[in-house]
Amino acid sequence: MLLTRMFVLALAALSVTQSLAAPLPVITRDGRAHVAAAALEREAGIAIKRLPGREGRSGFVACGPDVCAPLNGVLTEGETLLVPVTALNDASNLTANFDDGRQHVTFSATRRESPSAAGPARVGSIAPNLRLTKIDGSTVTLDELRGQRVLINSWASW
Amino acid sequence: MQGPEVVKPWLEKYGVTFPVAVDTADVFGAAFGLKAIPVSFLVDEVGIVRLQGGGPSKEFRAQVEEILREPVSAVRGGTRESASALSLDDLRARAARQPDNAGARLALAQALERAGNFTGAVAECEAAARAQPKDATVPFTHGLVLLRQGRTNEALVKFTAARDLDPGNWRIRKQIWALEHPERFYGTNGIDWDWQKVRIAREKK
Repeated sequence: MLLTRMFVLALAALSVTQSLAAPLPVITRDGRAHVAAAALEREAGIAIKRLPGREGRSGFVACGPDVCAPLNGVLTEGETLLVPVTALNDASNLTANFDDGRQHVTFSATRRESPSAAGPARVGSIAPNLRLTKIDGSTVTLDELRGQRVLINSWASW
Repeated sequence: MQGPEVVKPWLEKYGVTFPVAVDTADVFGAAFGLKAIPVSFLVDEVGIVRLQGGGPSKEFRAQVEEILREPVSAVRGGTRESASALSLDDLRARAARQPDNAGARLALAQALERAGNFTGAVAECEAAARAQPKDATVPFTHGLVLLRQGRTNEALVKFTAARDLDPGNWRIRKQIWALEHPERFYGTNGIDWDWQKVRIAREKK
């Protein structure tokens, strides 16, 4: 018996767009426009996360309330992550709008329906909101644990 | 020998303090498409599955520590619905609306199993199998429910059918071994790993 230690249908795009908060400073590297991941998270609610052990093209993921998608071309400068603006366009529902001097960029979001649980969960995607029964008979869901890091280890008596 | 009664003495012996769930209807295994165990996943504060690992390893530990060192993000990802979080009434209504949807019938079977209604769970597994005869998770779950009823021989028939539908799934194979050769798993000397190595080599051919 499995013991669990607790520690994409097509997205139907709806035609609702909204601008996201303040313009973000553009940081140019190799002639390409980037934004800092920290600013992106603070102003646009999009978290950029590294997937350890996965280098190269699929080494990062961009996740917000509506989308979670692989992100290409992220640069690392010390503790700072620089995200290419074009990669964000490709990965998420964000559209970039530069100001005249290309000093700043604002993002507008096209709202999409939440991803439905098609196919098994995998690294780089949002975990399904599983409800599991604990040994004392009470239940816990993964969404109840949001905000914490949860290590799930599965093993069996065979 | 399976289920909470096997787990509890082990938890006491090792003084386990983390929450432990017993996945008697394979909700976790099916949702993550597990083909072998042990397996570990790290889900971060956003809700993203960040890591997958096998048994204990220095590499996995280092990757977990790398994530733990990150600043905690304030972003919360959207909910990815799982039928396991729905109420029994909702699952019943969904299965009634979509009687030929194997996933809806299997999710209802898992919820009925959780509620202790094994007869109802078996009926839903049978309905799911009629709707989707090629999905190994259906007979695997069916076998688990039969095991809960003590119907070992019937469970073995279902596990064998599941293995034939998904030959590369080592969880199904090991479940079968544990039933056919309990002395290799639950004897006084514990699990016979040498025996398993021979079985793995033979069944990989």
